[in-house]
Amino acid sequence: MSYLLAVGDSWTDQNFKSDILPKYDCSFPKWPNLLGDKLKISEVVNVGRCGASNDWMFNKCYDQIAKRKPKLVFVLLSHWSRHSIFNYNFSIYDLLGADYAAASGMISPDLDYWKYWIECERDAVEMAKYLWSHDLHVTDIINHTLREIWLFQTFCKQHNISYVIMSALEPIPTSDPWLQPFFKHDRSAADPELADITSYMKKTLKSPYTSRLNEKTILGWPFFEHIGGWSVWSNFVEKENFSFFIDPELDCHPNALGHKNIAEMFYRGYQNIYGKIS
Amino acid sequence: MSYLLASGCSWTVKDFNSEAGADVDCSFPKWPELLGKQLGIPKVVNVGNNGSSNASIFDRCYNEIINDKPKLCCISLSGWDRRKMFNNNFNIFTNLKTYELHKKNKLSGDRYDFTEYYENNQSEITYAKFLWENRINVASIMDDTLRDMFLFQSFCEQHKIDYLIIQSLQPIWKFWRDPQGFIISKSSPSFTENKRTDYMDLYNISNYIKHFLNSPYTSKLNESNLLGWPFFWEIGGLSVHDIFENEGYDKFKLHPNDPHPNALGHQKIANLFYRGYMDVYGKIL
Repeated sequence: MSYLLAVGDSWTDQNFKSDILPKYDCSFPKWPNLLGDKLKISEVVNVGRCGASNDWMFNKCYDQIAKRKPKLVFVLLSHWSRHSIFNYNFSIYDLLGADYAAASGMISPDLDYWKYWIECERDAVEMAKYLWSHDLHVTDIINHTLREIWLFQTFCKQHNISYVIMSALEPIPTSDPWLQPFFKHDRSAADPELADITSYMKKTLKSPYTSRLNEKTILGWPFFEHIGGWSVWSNFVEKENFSFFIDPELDCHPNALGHKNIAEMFYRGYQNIYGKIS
Repeated sequence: MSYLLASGCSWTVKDFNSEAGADVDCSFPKWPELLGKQLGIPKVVNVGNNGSSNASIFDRCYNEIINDKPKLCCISLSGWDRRKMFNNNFNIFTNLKTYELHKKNKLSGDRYDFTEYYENNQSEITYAKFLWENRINVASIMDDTLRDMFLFQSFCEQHKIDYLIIQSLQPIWKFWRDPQGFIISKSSPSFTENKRTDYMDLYNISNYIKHFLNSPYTSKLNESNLLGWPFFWEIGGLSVHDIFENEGYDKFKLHPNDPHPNALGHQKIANLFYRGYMDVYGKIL
């Protein structure tokens, strides 16, 4: 019996710890292990990492597959605006949003963590600002993740690997309270469409990659709620299942119950796609 | 008859202009167009782009292939230290070297003048330093290109697309090294200001080659389609840069201050691809 390979960001990371609530016990089992139990696969390899970008996730899958072929791969995607460079995950909208929130007094004193984070990432913030105002385009952000998904599907098909993809977060963090005023008030973008949230959805629908994706293996496709998709995040929030979060006010990562729910979603998705548990 | 798809960095760009001066004539045909003629393929799509990273070189191929499948895809790889972020490309070692030259007041050195580059690329230089000091490791530098090559090879084989890959620049350019083989120089501020405990791994070229040889991807690559493999001259490979050097670089050089290939250099590259195609696929299209 081969193994289950799982990848994602902080919503998947085996060693996740809440930076904002460091005393919160995060030792509960994460969704990859819970899913392994449900599927009766004893070996689970979880390569999830906090802050991971989608391209980083797929890269880690390939790295693992190149060493040993898994039986199943489960990918829990993150924001599409993240990008890995070398082994570092550059989260452009998180950086811009947090910087904007810090500068405009939106970060309350009990969220010193974010101020500390912004200080540590100061050079990355400057790079994010530079990209935003010089050469960043909605099409590039959208195609970056779509191309990765398409390549991964093509690769898995060729190598006869079963897989399921789902998204933890909204593709673009449109409901992030820090980013809404940023999108609204910052007018320095090189591409004016960057501040228009609907443009991301339009470009997704028009991308040449979209029509070539195998939607059957992507749960919640096309992920954006406004065009009929969903993410785990939107699923939790829409059902007002705030009990799935560590703390709905301070840390919206999934708690033990949230991880059980994610495992259940993947499990049902797997059954629907592949119709069997082996 | 389907088309020839070519991708690469400035060594491939159809409308390349030299920064050595507006009077440098760059209107000669580039290797993709020359190769198309040699192979009798009338339609050539050249998606070469200045400053391209290898990831970006492959991305632009997929962007074409998704719309129309080519008969043959020819890739000319660039420096392995280059990285893309969305549609932007960063030349990490150029930025670090520029920072070093600036600190030593040698921007206008005896080989190339980096003054203008330094003035126009402050954000990138700062970011390269940030990455170098905090994030980069040898494994990620090497595996990123090897993984891209492996994926591209898998993709072409699945879709029955003929392909060839060549290395234009040296993977880790000799210019970035000092005579002892250290990346950037040992007296560079990037070296002396660095607080990382694993910094030595990054400075020593032999670590890059060790990782190259040990990467899980290396043994999975189809070497016959990689012209000059294993690319690093230290282990018996060749880049186009090395071939030019072996035959006298000056005759292939666009200008004394611009090492990009001239008309003869482009013809040489087209010939390398042509011979490679005949060796691998053994036919004229």
